[in-house]
Amino acid sequence: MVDHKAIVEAILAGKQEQFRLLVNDFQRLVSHIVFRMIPDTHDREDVCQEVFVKVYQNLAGFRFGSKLSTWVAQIAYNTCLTALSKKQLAIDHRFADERDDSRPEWSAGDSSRPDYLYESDDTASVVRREIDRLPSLPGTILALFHLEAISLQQIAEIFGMPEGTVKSHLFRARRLLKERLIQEHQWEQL
Amino acid sequence: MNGEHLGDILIQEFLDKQVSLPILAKRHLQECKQCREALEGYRELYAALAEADSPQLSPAFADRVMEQVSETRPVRQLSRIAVPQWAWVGATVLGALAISALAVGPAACQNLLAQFQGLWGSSLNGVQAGASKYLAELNLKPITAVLSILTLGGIVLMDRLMVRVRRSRRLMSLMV
Repeated sequence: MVDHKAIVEAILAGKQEQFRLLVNDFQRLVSHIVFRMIPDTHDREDVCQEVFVKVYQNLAGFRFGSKLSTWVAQIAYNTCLTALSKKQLAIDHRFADERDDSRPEWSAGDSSRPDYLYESDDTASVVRREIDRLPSLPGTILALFHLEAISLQQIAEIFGMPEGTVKSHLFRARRLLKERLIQEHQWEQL
Repeated sequence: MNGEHLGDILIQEFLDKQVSLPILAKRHLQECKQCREALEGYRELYAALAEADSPQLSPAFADRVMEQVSETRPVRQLSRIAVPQWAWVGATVLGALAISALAVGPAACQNLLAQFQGLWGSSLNGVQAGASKYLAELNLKPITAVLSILTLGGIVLMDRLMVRVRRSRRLMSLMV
């Protein structure tokens, strides 16, 4: 198991290269949040980068009062909110409805067509695509819970909401996902 | 349970291992094909979720982050020492006493010290008597008392303000 406290202490002592270990450890977690909250595919990687720069700059202020992953995820979430407000996107992500309704239809050969449309129809890709189609907050909560194995309590801490609210978003996301997989992908086994 | 059937929420809570199924629900599950299928459906969804892949960042992502952080440094906090609450209270009281002592003058302070020495070993009655005597000898003017209370209030207020400033700075570091 990675000793995050030792890594943080080493970074603060001047061993900057140790920060790469944190980047490698948390880039999946950060991308789950950023990729689901930032609708513009071109901005996502820049926002992820901004998150890690903030983590680095504020590392001295982290007192290990919570898990480092929770703190990093909180920074990712708040950076997304700031990025969204900067772009003046009138999206109330907390209550946003079916996000895919506003998603444009992509034509073959379109260079701006997202990569996921080129992906295969294996289970992993289909489920990932359907998670991406969920409203941003329930989709993010579902991804953190199932794909990153983060507890409900930690998720509640990350988003600053009661655990009951997290649960209801999670239940709603699963039900929606199940319905879509049955209706649109004819998953008879579901 | 939703009526006779197991609801979505109960099934999900059961699969999340947050609840165990009540006996009635277990019995119902044995008899109801619809609920068994619903439970099986969610089991398969959970299995599919375990297989789902994650968003991919470009392979050079970590290098780009490292390049960017090499131009900056972790912001050192003004103080890495956590000051306990009792220390703030103690400092506030001592500060108030010091300012009060300055306000009443050195002669009164000597009186105060003598009173404390006398009171140290005495009984509760002695303490009360000594305190009354001290107050009488001190000839404390109302303005001095008001000033002392205001000073104490000011120090407490400043302390609270500093706590808020520190908290805001921490929040700003997350928001900006």
